[in-house]
Amino acid sequence: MTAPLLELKDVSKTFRRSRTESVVAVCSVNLHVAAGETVALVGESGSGKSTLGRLALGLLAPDSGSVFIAGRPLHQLAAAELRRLRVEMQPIFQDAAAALNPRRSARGHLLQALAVRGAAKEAEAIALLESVGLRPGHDYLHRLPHELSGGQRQRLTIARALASQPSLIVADEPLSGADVSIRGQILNLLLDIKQQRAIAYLLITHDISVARAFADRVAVMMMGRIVETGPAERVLRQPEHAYTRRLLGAVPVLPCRSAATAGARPKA
Amino acid sequence: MREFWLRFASHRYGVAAGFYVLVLILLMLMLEVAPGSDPHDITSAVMQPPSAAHTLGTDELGRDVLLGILHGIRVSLSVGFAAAFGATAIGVVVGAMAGFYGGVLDLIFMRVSEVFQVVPSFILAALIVALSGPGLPQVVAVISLLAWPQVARLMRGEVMRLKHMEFVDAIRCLGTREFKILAGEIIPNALAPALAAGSLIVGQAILLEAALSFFGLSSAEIISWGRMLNSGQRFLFNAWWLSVFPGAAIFLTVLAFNLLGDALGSALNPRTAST
Amino acid sequence: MNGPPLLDIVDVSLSYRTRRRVVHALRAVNLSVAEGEAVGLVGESGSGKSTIARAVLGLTPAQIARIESGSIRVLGRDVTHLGEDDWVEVRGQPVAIVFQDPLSYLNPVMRVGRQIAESVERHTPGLAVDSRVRELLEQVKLPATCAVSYPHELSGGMRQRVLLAIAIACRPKLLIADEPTTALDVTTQAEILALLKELRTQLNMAMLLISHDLGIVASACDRIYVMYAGRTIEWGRTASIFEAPAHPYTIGLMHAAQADRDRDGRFVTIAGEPPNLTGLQTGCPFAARCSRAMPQCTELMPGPVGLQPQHSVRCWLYGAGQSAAVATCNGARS
Repeated sequence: MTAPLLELKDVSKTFRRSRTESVVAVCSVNLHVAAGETVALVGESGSGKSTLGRLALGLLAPDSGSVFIAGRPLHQLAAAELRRLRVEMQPIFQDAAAALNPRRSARGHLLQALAVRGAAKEAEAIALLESVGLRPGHDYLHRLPHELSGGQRQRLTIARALASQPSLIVADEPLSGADVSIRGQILNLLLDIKQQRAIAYLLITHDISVARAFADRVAVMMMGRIVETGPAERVLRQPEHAYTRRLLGAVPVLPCRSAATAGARPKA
Repeated sequence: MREFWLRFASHRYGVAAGFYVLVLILLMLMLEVAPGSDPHDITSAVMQPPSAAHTLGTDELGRDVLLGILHGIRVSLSVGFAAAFGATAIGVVVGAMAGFYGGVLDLIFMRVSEVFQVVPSFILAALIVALSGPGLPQVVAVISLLAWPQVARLMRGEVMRLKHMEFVDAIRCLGTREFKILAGEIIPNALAPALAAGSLIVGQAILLEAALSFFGLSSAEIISWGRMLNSGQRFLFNAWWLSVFPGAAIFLTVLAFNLLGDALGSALNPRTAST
Repeated sequence: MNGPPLLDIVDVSLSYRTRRRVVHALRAVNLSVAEGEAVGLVGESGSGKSTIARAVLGLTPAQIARIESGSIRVLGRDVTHLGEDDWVEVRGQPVAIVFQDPLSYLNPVMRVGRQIAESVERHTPGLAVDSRVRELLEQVKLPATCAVSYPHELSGGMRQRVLLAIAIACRPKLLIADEPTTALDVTTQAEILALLKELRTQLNMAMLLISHDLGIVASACDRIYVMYAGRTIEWGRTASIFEAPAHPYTIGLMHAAQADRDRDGRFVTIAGEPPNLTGLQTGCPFAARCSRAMPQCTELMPGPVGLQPQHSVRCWLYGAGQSAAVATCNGARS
């Protein structure tokens, strides 16, 4: 039995706000992501899902419990080995503008990431840009982040995440910054990547529809704990936990009739 | 790079100031190569107001004021640049490390920089010069020591703001070492305000040197604008040209560096492209 | 409800002018809100929806914003070029506004009770302030003990309720809510929307709800306007629009909001990028992204076509419409 790609065993993390106050962000969480799987971590603000994402990426060390990547315990490794292993997991953040170095061109960002696999060539960078829909790649090479639109920046961060050929992408609210009309494009991109490259996803979101559209499994988080997990279909159709039910019930439903909207379709 | 110049060019005053400084540098270089007349030359044309022979007049020993000002450029610029460079170099390094690593390092830095900021600069400068003797290196050292905390504070603030941003985390996920992150990602983005502060220090240095000279605390052989002011203030009412021209030189030069600093600061920021 | 509309925006074009460029934020926008009505305004970045909210209360940056043509009337009064001194008669009462991020709009060093009291004193001087503040807190379903808290001590939802209390302190006839729930969690969002509904009934208050979220607008509003690149492109009764959306952009938004997929399993999406509002534009601003664009779409902007008594659209797919004016320079009338 192969170990899952990512496993968090009984992980807890507390933040100290002042000398007297501390906040328990994550409490005894167990979560795993198998190779090629998409797990959606759903929760509201303050649920601890972002902290969990950072723990999974190794950006934070848990106060108790362990994080395993392909069966290896992340925080017991020597520094050099840790650096080599963490390349397997790459992030996509919510705010694409903050996720890019303002002084580095698209080319610079991609070459930096490609260097990890020893493939730092411009041709590779162009191929990456085109694979995320920035065509022709040559035009985008020398652009700085502020010269790109919001959607283009997000595509660039996705390209960078792909450059080092990771096995797992941790996407923290990847659609929240984008306009509604652009979201479909980014969703399609993520879908393509998932299907063509068999990359696993830990998708962190507060938006149930994104989870519904994408995930194989769903884990619902509330106040630092996972209250429910299971196959996406089951959790979203027949939620067992009261909080999950409340969460699903609060989403405003559109009174559309699909027949009417199916008629005239804009470009896909 | 091209973008930087474009942004810089949109600040009219900054560009004007830049030209002024360039002219000063050119004059200084020209005088190194072709010294011409000696400004120390004592002539018989004593206390002459500005005229055809002596464009800006002469002082009580018959020395030409214009020559004095031209030769004084060297002192002012070299003290200014050297002090600013020293202060900025120290400030950037200390501030970046304090901001990035935090903890005890940051605590020490804060206390040390407070000491330097609390000490009244002129008095400390005068003390050191009085003890070690007049000389340009001493002046430069004093100014650097007094000015680095300003730069360091700005640098520290910027670094602290930047280190929490997602692009730093993204680089971390690529397995980059912490130190490389600080040097390669954070410092280049944090430099702009520090450099702007650095150019302001040129102005401060020139003023401090002028003040020291004014109080006679600098070497008599070196011509500087402050020293000219020192000698000229006795004759303020009968020979106004002895004070006004050196004073104007100090004023214009300090102003130019301040404007330059402003323009540099906003030109270095890639986001303040257009309104 | 017949009678003059509370808010009547007629053919308004507004642009931001700086030394470097001109941004046409609004172009020939028509919008009205009647007494007691809930009207929704849907659009994305660059649609102009926030500009409208601010223009109605004179909150656009004075140096660069200019209303080039058209008029805005509040309760019959023309406020298009109102002087700063006269705006105090409009702001707060009869028109109040709440914004997206309550933390930015509350004074961080003043207790919230005091801030609500300020509003009370300003608009109803002479009234017993403390009891009115308590009354307002009750109306927005906040415990009376909140009055002594500072904004940062309250949660996002509570802060938004405080903003609402400040807004309703003077019993406004119209409440403009600019993305009031965007910064909130989905469960809090539901609570705030329910609260808004209740307040509207209690105070017979009309509402202009601005959002990028179709779902919110659908559940809370009687009528909707859809905006794109500074123009209103479709408007009418909520039910009518959702039953049979006409404009390709509206249809696209609905697909995107539901994360609909087509036969190949790909998400239905709108191609292209959000609009660029600088420079002149002839014709329909959506043409570049529209899969059903026709040659005339890039030349002329069609006039409104009434599909139903309370559902109109501006799209060549449905005809030229009434008063189709030629697109001219300066984007004055198009």
